[in-house]
Amino acid sequence: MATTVGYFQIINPQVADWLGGLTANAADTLRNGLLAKLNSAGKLVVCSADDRSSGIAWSNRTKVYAPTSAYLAADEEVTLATGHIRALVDSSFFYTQTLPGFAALLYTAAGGLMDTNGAAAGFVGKVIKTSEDVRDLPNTTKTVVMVELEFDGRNMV
Amino acid sequence: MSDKTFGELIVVGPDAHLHIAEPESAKMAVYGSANYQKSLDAIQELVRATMVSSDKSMHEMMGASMREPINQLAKYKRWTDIFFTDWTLGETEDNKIPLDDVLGSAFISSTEGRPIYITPGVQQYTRPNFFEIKTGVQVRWSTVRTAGWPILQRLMERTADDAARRLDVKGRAILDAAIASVSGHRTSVSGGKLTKAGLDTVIKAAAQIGFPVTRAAINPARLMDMTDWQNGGTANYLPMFSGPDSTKEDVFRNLRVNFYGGITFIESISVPINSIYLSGDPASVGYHQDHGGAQTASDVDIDDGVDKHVSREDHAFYIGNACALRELFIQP
Repeated sequence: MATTVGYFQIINPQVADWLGGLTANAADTLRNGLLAKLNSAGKLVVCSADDRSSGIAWSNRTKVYAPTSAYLAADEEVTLATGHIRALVDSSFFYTQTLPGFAALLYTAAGGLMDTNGAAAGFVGKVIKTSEDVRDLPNTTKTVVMVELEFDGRNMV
Repeated sequence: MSDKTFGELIVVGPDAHLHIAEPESAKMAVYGSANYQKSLDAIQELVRATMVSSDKSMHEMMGASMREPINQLAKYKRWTDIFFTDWTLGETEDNKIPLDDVLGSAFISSTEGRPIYITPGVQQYTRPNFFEIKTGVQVRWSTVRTAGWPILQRLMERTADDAARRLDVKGRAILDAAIASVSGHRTSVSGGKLTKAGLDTVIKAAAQIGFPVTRAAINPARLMDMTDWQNGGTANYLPMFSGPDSTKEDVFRNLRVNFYGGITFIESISVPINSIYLSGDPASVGYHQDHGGAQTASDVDIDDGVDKHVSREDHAFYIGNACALRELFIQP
């Protein structure tokens, strides 16, 4: 079956900072596209609601032989995409599982997702485009939104 | 035990009686035509040997061996196999199956805009779990001697049949789960019959999404419902009779039209009467993994006078694209 665990495409990879050499804290929580932060031990964990996010977790797990899951194992190497990021995102990356409207402000939510409701501490960005769609199975399309996310050093623990 | 071997199943011993062949040559736990071919070969060998012999007992034995009990069980015919691509694996081979990632997009842009790059993410695999089918047959020598017909062969065929049935039960469960996972892929029609409208609905829906159905597993009696098909409001008029001559002949001879709607109907009495399973090319549906082939073994227990034969097989099913599968359910 299809394995798409959500559509999250960073469309300005040249602009974003890719901070490598980090490790995932726990198994089965981190995957590509989730908002993450460094914990007190310097390991990457998914954000909870109103957490300050350090960036987006990213690992294609190419060092794992034939992975059967998109989720990272504990202590698996992971990269943090941080700085200034634009991304195309489907509804699965939003807490309400629905796409926000144009210009909606985005905050961290439980499970490393984004939400339109939240406290200032968890502010990560806003929706800057809502008119794109992408292919979906079997022969349909689904709408995605373009988000602009800003992570800076202040978000680091 | 024997001085002559006829085929692999039947041997004639020094006492001019029929015996079951030596265990190592009696590996019959194979399915389908190969099994029949073996038994056929064995009988033909027996006939040939008898014809050149003037021994009366030989001829009597021949007669006895040919008078098998009339089979009361219908031959099982596998049907779920038409939906899976066969994938044979060695014992130590990894059965990993790569999973598709629904990515790939193009975007309308303005002249100066840069292209948006789409990057594949984690490449995932799955390994379906194997299940094991075992068959075992043991026959006492005294039973074989007094039966006077190839009883072991009949028993082997039946166990192979039942192994095939078990395989279909597993395969069908996978098909059902896949069909249920996609909305609208199980079409239920009332009336207790296969109607043209019901079948057309499925064919159209499949064509609409780009995964047309080209094959169907169906019970032959259900397919014969076609004889009741009417053309529009014209009663008692079969639309097939408006078709080519071959179609008319098909209806007269077989009470059904094959290739209706571009579908090859694979008939099997083992398909549930009220379900018709349809799909496109099996290469676009899923895999049936056979892990290590059939492990067969035979032994002789001389204390009890028993021949024993066992077979162990590992199988796994996987469906990669449930959208290519459909079921037409006829409400009884």
